[in-house]
Amino acid sequence: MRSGLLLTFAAMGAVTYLTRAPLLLALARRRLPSWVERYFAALPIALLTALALPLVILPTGGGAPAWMTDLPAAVTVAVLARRTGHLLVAVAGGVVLAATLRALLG
Amino acid sequence: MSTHAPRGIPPAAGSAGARAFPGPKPRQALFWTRESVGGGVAKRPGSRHIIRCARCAPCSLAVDGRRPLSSDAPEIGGPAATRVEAWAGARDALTTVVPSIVAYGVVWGGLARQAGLSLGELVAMCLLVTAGTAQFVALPMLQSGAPAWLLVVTTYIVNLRHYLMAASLAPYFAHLSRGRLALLAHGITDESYALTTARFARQPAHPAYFAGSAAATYVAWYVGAAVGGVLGGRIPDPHRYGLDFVFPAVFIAILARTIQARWQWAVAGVAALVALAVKGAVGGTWHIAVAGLGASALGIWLAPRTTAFGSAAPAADPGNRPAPRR
Repeated sequence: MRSGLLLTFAAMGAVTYLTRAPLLLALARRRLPSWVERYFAALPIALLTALALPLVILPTGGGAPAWMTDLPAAVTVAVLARRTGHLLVAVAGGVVLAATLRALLG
Repeated sequence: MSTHAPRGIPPAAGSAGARAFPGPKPRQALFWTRESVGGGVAKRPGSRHIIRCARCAPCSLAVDGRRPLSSDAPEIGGPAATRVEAWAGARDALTTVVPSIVAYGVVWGGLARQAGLSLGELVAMCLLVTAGTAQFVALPMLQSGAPAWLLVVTTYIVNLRHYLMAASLAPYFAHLSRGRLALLAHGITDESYALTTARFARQPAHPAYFAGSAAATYVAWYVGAAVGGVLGGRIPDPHRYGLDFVFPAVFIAILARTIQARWQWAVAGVAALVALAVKGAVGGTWHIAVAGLGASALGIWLAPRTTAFGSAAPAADPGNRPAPRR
């Protein structure tokens, strides 16, 4: 086991805890300013979009381009999630379509 | 004394709690809420409060408030309530998110082996980092030999969303000690947060429910990761079977269920454009920080003032549950 790696993991865990604990402790009896609340309300949407979109649109290297295989699958996931409300159903449907398109086009 | 009287609080003479319960035998009362009578917060000695059972009104009690109600809330529920709520949280997690977390964990474990982690290192990473999304993001960086500081910074950025969840959960836990809060903080995950806010919007909030759902989430992730790590090399090519697509798929599914209002579409649209532009121009993982933190600023102007998120409970009255998020 590489000790440098463990140290890195420990640091990652420490900054993760730093995102979880402070506000839970501070805000159990207090409130945030309203504009900060609105910023936080938008944060998960912006963050998840920024994480997901480039993965399904930009080229991954090797095989068919992502926008031909992953983008249609991503649209399927979104439609399934909105229609069924089931995370697992939506993700499974998207994975099957992505794998099929990659096999056909790749 | 009937089984549904709360522990630790003797029923006041002549209160509703001393009445016989008519009709069918009630379930054990586990969900206590309170409301003040005469507008007093329980700091004035002699101000009366109703301790109300949300399931069966007849066993509600009127008590004299001698100390802030927030400090006696745990004993009102009692250990039985804690157990039942914790199991409810775990059960709700098991029937909804746990299967996909295990599947996720298996995929992550397999990818981690391919990124060059040993089984021990993989387990250590799960135990130390405790954040699935960050662990996913870290794998390609580990594989490409990214410097440690970049891994730590990226982890922090990816986990920034926990600030939001912590801020919106905090008012529900107003009566807990700092030590308990510090421990509960570990349980903040996308899944436990989603389950808990959904539950607290319908039922009186109990921290044990959150703890139960978080524990189930963690166990599912550990089991999945370990299985994936053992199978590791035998998952030939995740790309070919579309397994790498699980990652963006979950985010998109959560987004699709979250985005309703126009301002949310605007935030997502701007975040998408900025992320694609930055990723195309700079590469790496900077697009997550730039688009995530930048596009959120739109929320300051566009998000409605009243429904930013569920932390609407005034701190002075922790007995009130915050309004549901949407």
